[in-house]
Amino acid sequence: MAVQKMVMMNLVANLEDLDYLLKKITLSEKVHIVNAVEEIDESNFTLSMMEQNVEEIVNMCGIEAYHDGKNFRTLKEKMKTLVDMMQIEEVVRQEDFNEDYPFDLVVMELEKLYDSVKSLYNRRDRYLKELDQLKQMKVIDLLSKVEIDLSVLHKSRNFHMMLGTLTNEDRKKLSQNYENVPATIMHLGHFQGREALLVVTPMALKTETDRILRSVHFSPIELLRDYITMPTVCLERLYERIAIVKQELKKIDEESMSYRESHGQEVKRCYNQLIMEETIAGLKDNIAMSKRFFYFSGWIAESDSREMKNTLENERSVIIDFKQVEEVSAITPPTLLTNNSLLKPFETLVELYGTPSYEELDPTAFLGISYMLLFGAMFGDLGQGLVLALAGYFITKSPKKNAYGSLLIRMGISSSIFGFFYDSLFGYEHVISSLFASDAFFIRPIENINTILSVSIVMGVVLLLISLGYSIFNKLKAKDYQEGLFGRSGMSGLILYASLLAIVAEKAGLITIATGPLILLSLLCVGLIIVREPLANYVAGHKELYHEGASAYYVESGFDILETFLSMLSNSVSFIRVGAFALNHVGLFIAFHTMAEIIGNAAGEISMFIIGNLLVIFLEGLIVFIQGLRLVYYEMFSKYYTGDGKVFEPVCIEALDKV
Amino acid sequence: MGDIKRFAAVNTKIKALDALLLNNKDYELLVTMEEPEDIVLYLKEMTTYKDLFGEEETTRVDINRIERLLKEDIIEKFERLSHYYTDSYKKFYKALFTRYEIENIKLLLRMLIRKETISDLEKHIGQTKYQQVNMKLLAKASSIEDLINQLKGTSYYGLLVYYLEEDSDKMMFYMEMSLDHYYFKYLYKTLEGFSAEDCRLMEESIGQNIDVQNLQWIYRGLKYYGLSPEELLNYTLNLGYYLKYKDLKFLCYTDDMVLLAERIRATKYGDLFLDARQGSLFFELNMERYLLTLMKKLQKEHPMTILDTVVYMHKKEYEVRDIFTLLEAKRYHAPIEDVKKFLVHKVH
Repeated sequence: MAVQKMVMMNLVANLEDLDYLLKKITLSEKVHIVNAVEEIDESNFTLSMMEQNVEEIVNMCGIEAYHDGKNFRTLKEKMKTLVDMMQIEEVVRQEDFNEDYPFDLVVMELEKLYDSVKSLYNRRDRYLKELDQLKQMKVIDLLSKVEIDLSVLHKSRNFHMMLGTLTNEDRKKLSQNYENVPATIMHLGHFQGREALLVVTPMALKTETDRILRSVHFSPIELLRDYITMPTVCLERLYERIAIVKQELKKIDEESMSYRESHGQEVKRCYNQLIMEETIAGLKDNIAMSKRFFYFSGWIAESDSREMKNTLENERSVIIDFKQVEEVSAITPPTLLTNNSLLKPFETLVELYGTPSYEELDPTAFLGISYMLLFGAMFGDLGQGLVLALAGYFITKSPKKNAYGSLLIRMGISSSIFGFFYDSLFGYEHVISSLFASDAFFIRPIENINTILSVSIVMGVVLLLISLGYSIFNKLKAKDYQEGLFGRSGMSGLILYASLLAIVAEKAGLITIATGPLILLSLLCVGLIIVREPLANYVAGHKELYHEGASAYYVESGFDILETFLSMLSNSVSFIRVGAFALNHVGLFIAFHTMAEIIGNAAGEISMFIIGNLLVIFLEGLIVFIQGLRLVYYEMFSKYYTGDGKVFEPVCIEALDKV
Repeated sequence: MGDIKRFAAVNTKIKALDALLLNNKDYELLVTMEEPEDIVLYLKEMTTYKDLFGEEETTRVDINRIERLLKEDIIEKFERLSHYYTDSYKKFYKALFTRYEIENIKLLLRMLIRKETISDLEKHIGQTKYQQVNMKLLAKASSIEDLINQLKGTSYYGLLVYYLEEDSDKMMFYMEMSLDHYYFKYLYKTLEGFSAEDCRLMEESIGQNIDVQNLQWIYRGLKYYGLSPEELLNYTLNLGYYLKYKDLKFLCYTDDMVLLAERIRATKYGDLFLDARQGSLFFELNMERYLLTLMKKLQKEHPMTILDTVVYMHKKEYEVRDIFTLLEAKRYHAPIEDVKKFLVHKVH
C-alpha cells in the first residue's frame, strides 16, 4: 500500500557479458533504465573505491555511448515476410526467450528459412504484381465502344500513347490550360475513383508532356504488350488471365501452408529470439562503454534489488552498486505502486488523475476504500450490485484486458452490501427483510430521509478530515512548511475546520462544549493562514518576507481566507449528494412501479421491471460512477494530491510491428 | 463578433501566453548585448524562459542545445493548446502541425540531395504528437531512395516519388514545391467546418500566404530552374486571395525575367519583392512581417475568432526564430544595425 522505495542500480561488467546481462534484466521486467552516459556526466555513477574495482574505475575516464553496428531492418523485413507468408498469428512465446542461443545462429537460421521460401515468395510477388497490372489494364473497358486497334497507335514511330489516371481536381486544372499542352488528351471517364485519360503526344515533345503530366500527379498505367489490340479482344484476354493468376496464387498459398506445418515452430522461435535481440539492442542506446567494460544504470525497487544483485553476481562477474534516492541528485525516481489485490484496480483511477510523485503518499488505499463506500451508498441495491459485479467478472475474462472489469466487481459488491441494508432487491423494497424476523438492521432510505442525508454529510466530514491529514503529511514530507503548517490544507486549516465543526455541533445541541476557546482558536488559525507566507519566511530565516509586494499579498490572502470558509462549507455540504442519490435511486423505481400499476397486467409489470432495471443500471450507474469520481477528485484529491510523478516503466520485450 | 462560447477559454489562455512574449524593451536590450551567453542569461533571469533554461549553464553556451530546447518547447506549448479545440477546429489545429513534419522532411531531403551531413541530426528533428512519420527512423535513411521508400504508406510518398529521376539541383525545388502545395491544400480543406466568419478570415490570411508562395514559386521556377510555364502553372495553388488563376497564368507565361520582376512588382505584393536581389532571406522576412501585420489587423477587427490562436502561434514562432538569429549574430559579433535588419520583430 505504498509507493515503492527505489534505488539506483549501477552495474559494471565485461563487455562480452553485455548481451547476456541485458537479457536477464529485460526478462526480469523489474528495472527502469536510465541513460548511463548522462548518469556518469552528472557524477551519479560512482563505484566504491576498492582495490578490486580499480580497473573499472580507471576505464571510466575513456567512456562513451555504446555503438552497435547491428542492423535489424533487413532481418526484420525477412521475418515479416516469413510470418506474413505463413499467416502465423500469436507468435510471441515466453519460453523462447529463456532459451540460450548465439545470435549469429539465429541469423543463420532465419536466412535459411527465408531462402527456402524465397522462391515461393518471389513467385507470389510476381503474380500479385501482375494481378495488379491486369486490374489496372481494365481501364481499356472505357474504350470498348471504340473500334480501333490500339497496337497501331502504340507502334507508331512519331506518336506516343499513354493511358493513366489523375484526380478530378487535377484534371480540371489541366483542362484549363489545354491550349498550351503539346498533346491530345481524351477524357475516358471514371476509373477506380479517379479520372482516366488517353494522352497522345508527338515523340519529339514527349519530355515536355511528361513533365506537365507529372505536375498534375498523373499516374500512367503500364500497358502490357500482349493486350494491346482491339479493346474487346483485350478485355477477354484480361479476364482469362486474371482467373489463371488467381488460381496460381491460391496454389502458392497452399504450399506455404504446408510449409507452415513443417517449419512453423522454427519460425516462431526465430521470431522471438529476434525481438529479444532487438529489445536488447534498443537498450544499448542507454549504455556507456569503455574499452573493456560497459556501464548500466537503472531504477529498481529496493525490495527487488538484493535478489537481482545475487542472481547477476552468481552468473557473471559484475560489480553492482546501489545508490539511495538522496544520493542521486538531479533525477526524480519513477513511481511504482504496490497495493493488495483488493485495492490494485483503483490505481487506474489514481493514474487517471495523475501518477503519484515519488515523494508523495500513495493515495490508492484511501481512494479505493472511500470510492467503494461512496459508490455503494449512492447505488445500493443487492440485485443490481450483483449484476454489475457479474458484468465486471465477464470483462476480466474477456481477452481484451483492462482494469475496469475488476473495478466493476468491487463496486458491484459494495453496492450489493449497501443494497442488503437498504433492503432493496432490483428496486423492490421489503423483499429482503421479509426473509428475516427482525427489521432492526435495515435502513430504507426513503423512510429515513433525514438520517440518510445527515449520515452522508458526517461521512463526508470524516473523509475531508482524513484528506487534510494526508495533505499535512505530504506537505511536511516535501518540506513545504508554509502550506503544511499554516496553509488552509495544512495544520491550521485542519484545526480551523475541526473547531468550526465543534462550534456548529454545539449550536445544534449535539454536544456540550465551551465555545469561547474554540472561537479564539479559530481566529488564531485564520490569522495564521493570512500571514502564512511572511511567517514561514521569517521562521526559516529568509530576509525577503513577501514574494511580490506586501499589499498585493494581503489583498490576495484576504480573499483567500474568504474562499477558505466558502469551500469548507461547500465541500462538506457537497457530500449530501451521496444521500440524495440513494434517495433518487428509490425514487426512480417508484416511478417505474407506478407505471407498471397503470398498465395493470403481468406483461406490464415484467416489461417495466426489465426496462426500469436496465435504465437504472446503465444511466444511474454511470452518473453515480462519475459523481463518485467527482467527490474523490475534487473534494479530496485537490486538497492533498499533486500527481506529477513519472510512471515506472521496466524494460520488457515488445512485439515486432514497425518494420 | 466571433463565437464566445467556442473561444472564451482558449483566448483567455492565449492572452496570458501573449503577455509572456518578449516585448520591445527586451528586444532593445538583447540587440545590444555582446555574447550569446549574455542573451541566454538575460532570457533565463528576466523572461518566461526561466523555466526552460532553469538548469542551463550560462558561462559557456551550447547554441545547438539551446535551439533544440526552444524548438521542443514551442511544440510542447502548441500541443497543449490543442486541448482547447473540438471537431473541425481541432482538425485545423492539427493540420497546422503538418508544417513541422514537412519542414523536417525537407531538411532531410536537402541534406541527402546535397550530400551534406548534419551533426546531431536527431536533435534538430522534433517529433510532434500528430505526425504520420517516425522522424527518428527517417533520419537514419542513407539515400534519397531509401528515405522516400520509408515514407510509403504516408501521404508524402506519392508526392515525392515522381521526382527521383530528376537532376539533383531541380529535384529539391520540385519536392519542396510539392510538399508545400500539399500542406496548403490540406490546411485549406480543414477550414470546411469553420463558422462563416472564421472561414473568411482564414481564407484571407492563408490566401495571401498562398499568393506570396505562388509568386515565389513562379519567380524561382522560371528564373533558376527553367520550368515550363504549363508545368509551373499546375504547381501553383489556385486558392490565392488576390491572385487568381488568370493572374497566375499571365505571370507564368512571361519570357523575360526583367519583365517578370516588373510584373511581380505591379501586384499587390510588389513591396515585398523590393529587396529581392539582396537574397531570399529578406524576402522571407518581409513576407513574415507582412502576414503578421495583416493578421494582427484582422484580429483587431474581429475579436473572439480563430485568429487569436493563429496570431499567437506566429508571434511565438517568430520570437524563437529571432532568438536563434540573435544567438548566431552575437556568436559572430555582427554589427547591431545588421542584426536589427534580420529580426522579424522591428527594433528601433
